[in-house]
Amino acid sequence: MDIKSTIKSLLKEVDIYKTQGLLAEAKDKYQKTLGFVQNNLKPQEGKKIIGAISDKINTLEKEIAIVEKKVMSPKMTKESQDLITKMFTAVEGEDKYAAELEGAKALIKFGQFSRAIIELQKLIEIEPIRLDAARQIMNCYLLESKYDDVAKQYEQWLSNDLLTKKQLDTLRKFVQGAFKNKGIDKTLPEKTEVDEVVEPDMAKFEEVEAAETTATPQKPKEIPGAKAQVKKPETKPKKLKPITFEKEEFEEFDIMASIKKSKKTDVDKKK
Amino acid sequence: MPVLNLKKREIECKVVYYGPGRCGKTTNLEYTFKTFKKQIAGDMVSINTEGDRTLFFDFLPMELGKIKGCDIRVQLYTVPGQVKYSSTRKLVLKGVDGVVFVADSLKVRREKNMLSLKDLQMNLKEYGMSVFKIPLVLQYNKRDLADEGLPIMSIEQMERDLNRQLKAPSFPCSAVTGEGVGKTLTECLKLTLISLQRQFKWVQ
Ligand SMILES: Nc1nc2c(ncn2[C@@H]2O[C@H](COP(=O)(O)OP(=O)(O)OP(=O)(O)O)[C@@H](O)[C@H]2O)c(=O)[nH]1
Ligand SMILES: [Mg+2]
Repeated sequence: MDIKSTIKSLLKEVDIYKTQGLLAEAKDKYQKTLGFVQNNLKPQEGKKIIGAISDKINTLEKEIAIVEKKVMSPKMTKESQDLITKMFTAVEGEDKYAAELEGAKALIKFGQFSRAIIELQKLIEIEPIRLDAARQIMNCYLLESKYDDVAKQYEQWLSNDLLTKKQLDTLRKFVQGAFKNKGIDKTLPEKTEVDEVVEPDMAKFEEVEAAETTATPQKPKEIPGAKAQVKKPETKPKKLKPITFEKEEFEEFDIMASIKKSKKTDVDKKK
Repeated sequence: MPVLNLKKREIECKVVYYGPGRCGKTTNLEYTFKTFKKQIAGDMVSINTEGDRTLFFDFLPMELGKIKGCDIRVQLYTVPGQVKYSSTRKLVLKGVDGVVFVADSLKVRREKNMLSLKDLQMNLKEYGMSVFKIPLVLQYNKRDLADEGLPIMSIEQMERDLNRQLKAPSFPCSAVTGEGVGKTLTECLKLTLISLQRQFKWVQ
């Protein structure tokens, strides 16, 4: 192939990579084309084409930067949100509310915070999952960096009897920890030991007593829903490195060895 | 995880298309949606794409009709292939019953195929499943690009790279023309249903 045809065919390859959305590969090929031109054409001859390719690389780099940005909280139709919720709640034999909590957590993972909060506000009424639901509501606000809403929500819970002191303490520690990590200088107040000072209105004495008895005996020990939790994706970032397999593994799966080999062959070929 | 309702004689299972970014997972589903109208049980939902990249997943519900008196429903999903969406990928894989691994035949995507297969293996493992045991079919996509003069890998090389240990059924394919799309899916569904039968013995 003569020089012009080679350049043409290289550029055709680039075009196909671009239509395939393989932008990094397209850029790589542009750079190879650039190198080829520099090596095979005299500076005067290659000047124009080098300029043109360099411009295209610049444009491509901008496109790559856009694609590489991670979309956190995209707009979604209610139907799509329902689908997400359903995907994670249709587990048979599982506790109904635990499953709904899973659905809400799935919404959070897909960045659907407002809808998740609507669902969680319903679930917070259910005692066994109350604390977990409350924590997830805080989680939503924290993920959206809505720190004032965190404080507002906490204060609302502080002023009603929905959560026990112990539950509020757990939440407060969770939020304070998150604030600290994010460098937010905010302090949430602790709930005082005596739940509430109720006006000694003797006429209402009986009612108050009833309310207080229902508020006291809650012990937030185990959360039955906890076992059904989807593991948080933020756990350790996975590294694709050669792996050691457990003995139970059916068979060793050493695909990474092929990659190493493939790299070698590529280099070998170049030589 | 399959949903079995043996009283109502219904089985619902989940098949996930996995593979590196831009390998053609969504195109597979689009072709299926267009072509297998009889078996399609609803709209194809593509959850938010930037450009045409899958951001979360594509979803396509199918109804295969009755097998031995049981209504078989299948949900097809694709994962986002881009590396940065690893947590979404894992989430979509949850409860999977069968996998179609779509590999890109382009030479420049060789390593990406392997990394993605490795990623699949790791994610399955985290759900307590094994890539060796799950119903799995490999698809070598974009075979048509050879006609455009693009460097693509030979089937033998792809078998060596990806299927040496797995020994899964594999199919050359071109998702844009549709060649091989149906065969891939049919084989995966077959394996999935056999596996469900083995587990739950729904056919007496
Ligand atoms: N020539 C050719 N192009 C294909 C084929 N399959 C897919 N494509 C193209 O490859 C590009 C990516 O296809 P998609 O189906 O969006 O790929 P994907 O695997 O869903 O990509 P992600 O959602 O980013 O993971 C599109 O431009 C498709 O038209 C094929 O068999 N042949
Ligand atoms: Mg896609």
